[in-house]
Amino acid sequence: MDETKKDNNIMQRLFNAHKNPEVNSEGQAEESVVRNVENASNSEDHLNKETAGGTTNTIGIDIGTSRIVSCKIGTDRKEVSQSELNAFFSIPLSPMTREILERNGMHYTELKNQLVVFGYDAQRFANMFNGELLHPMQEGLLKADEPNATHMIKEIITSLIKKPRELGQKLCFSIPSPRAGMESDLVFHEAILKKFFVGLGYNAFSVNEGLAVILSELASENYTGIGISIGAGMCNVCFSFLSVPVITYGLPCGGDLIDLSVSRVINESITRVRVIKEESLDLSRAPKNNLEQALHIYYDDMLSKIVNSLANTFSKSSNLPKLSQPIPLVLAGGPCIPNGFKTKFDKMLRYVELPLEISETRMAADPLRATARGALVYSK
Amino acid sequence: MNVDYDTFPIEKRRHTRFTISGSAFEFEDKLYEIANLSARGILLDLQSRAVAAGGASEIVAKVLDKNKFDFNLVDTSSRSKLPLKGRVVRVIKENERVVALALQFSLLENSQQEGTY
Repeated sequence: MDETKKDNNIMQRLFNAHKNPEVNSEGQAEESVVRNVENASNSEDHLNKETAGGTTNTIGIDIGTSRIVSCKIGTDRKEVSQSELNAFFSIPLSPMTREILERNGMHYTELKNQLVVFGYDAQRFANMFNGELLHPMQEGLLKADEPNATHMIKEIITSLIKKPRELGQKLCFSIPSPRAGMESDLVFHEAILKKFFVGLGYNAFSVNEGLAVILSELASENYTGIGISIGAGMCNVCFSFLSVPVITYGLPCGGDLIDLSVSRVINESITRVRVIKEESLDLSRAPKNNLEQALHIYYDDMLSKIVNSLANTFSKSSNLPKLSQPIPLVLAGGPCIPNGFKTKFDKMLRYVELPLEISETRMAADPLRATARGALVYSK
Repeated sequence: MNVDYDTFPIEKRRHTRFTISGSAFEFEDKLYEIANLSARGILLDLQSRAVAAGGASEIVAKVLDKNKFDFNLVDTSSRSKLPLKGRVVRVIKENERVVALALQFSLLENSQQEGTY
């Protein structure tokens, strides 16, 4: 009981602190989370108004290992997108804790005598208790050894999308490419999600993540080019000709592997590695410390795997079209965000020989939302 | 007669159809306009002027005669071509006249997924 009170006091101090950010020693991190929660609730208001107005929309949703992003067109014809961290954190159930969570409008659910906080709110709790977040997915698919994976991913998705106003509203969700020997895992992952969305009342279907990037970014090229979505769990590659996917494949590399590898070699927590990577990593500058040096090394390793896979896979393919002009290559996903990423990628790409000519490498207009935008395009 | 492409069921679709300006169906060196295409199928509008110029009745007779046939998916803006294998899955008629053909296609190499790791 004393422990519970202690936890509640800690949480209450945390909430008080974020209401007065100047007194918070970790003000920067706390403020960003609060802003996110506020943005999410504003967006939800917007979505509710839109529904009340009777507009029926299709929805695109990116089911990423790290984040889930939804995208739709609002009444003002502008895109409305929301995201949630695809993660959760369990704390012992107590009425006081529940009351604090309620009072602060946090996302949580009760599960076997635990209060499970999810989404960006879970990150706050992980930081507060100095614990690691739990994830429903790993390497692009539902995590087999996480007993609450299916339940929690449904909770997280439901915090982003509600039941459709009209039955049969179209919803397109992203799925990764199957990896050799793991095809049946993808079948399970896709079926669980589809069943869930259909159960909500949507006409749900899936799109390959790499193709979604092309649909989002290459409309002016008639959807011809290479789309690479580098996520937390895996990297998905698609080469499409006039929107027809010709080559699609997945690689088991991404942001999580970088975080894990760096964390191991420099004996630092994964959470801290992730924060440094997402907030201050600059790949165009020489590393300033061990952590940055390790991040540079594992970024190089990931990019090397990606460009070598392009060379190997494309040179072996007998399905390539006869191209009369070079095609663009688009990069999307969270790990692409650090400054200098594209330059590093271009440099690596020059070392390999591809059977087709690349006109340019470009970053998606919004690397975190490109897959959801592509799913939205596919949902129409 | 206008075919209502938005409601016409090409097949039990899992793939979204796109209308892409400049996409064409090349069969025996003649180009035919594509009404829309998906990751697996094409809808050829046989009433368009481009098809009429290519010879609508000629193509209908030839593709219906074969179980599977080779063709190219062409981007007329760049003249790039993707060789594919196709088969007719539906013939859309009006007043006994064929007005559209729904085709299903596959890549030359059977697998859509290549080089999965």
